[in-house]
Amino acid sequence: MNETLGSRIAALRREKGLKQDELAEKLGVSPQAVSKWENDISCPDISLLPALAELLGVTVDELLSGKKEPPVELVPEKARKDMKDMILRVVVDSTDGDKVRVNLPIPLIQAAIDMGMESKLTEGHGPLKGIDIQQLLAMVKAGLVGNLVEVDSADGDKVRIFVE
Amino acid sequence: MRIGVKDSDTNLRLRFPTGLVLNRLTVSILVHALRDKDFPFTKKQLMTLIKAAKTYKHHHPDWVLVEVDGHDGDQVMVKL
Repeated sequence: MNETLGSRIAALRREKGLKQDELAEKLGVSPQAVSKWENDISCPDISLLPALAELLGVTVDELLSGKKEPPVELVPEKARKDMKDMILRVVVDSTDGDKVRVNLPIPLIQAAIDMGMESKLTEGHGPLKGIDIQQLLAMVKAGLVGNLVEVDSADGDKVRIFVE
Repeated sequence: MRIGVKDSDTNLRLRFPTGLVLNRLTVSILVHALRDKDFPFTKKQLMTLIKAAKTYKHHHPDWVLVEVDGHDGDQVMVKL
């Protein structure tokens, strides 16, 4: 099924229990504009996307691409992947619009921790500072996967860590 | 190993055997060259990390280590 931006906006709006005119009021546009978006007659102005995404409870990326980021879930022991096959993804969205993705296999991180290099993983890395990697791995070992960490830095950068 | 760099003027793609970069010799050279610059890792630590990375890569050949998408359209990708 080809989902359009308009259909996604409509579905997310309904999930949030908002009417078209309520959404329009919050965004400072007319209800007709929202209707046009939802019927794919027009698109929201780019400057409205962050506010629209926030109101609908998604990221701009999810809104535009339709790809939902994995929520956090506790996987039953029998259904868990082997830790050797799991990966930790660090996604940084800077205010400049740059996007950085670093994909670190869990075994690599575990090896670093076993050697006492834990602090080097986050030291000096702005928003990552203060994140307890050992605690994060303990959560993964306990079966938690998905979007485990979300940080909004003072500079406006967004950092997410998710495990799959 | 694949390294891709793309911007408005360049579309660079480098491919070479991962073992050419991730090996004991290059680690020794790196550690020696950076010894005066407070490089935090030892040769042994780096070799352990390399072994873990190679093992993962063996089972996951599509593993991309780093991807960067710049706001001006620049792209960088490093795949081991």
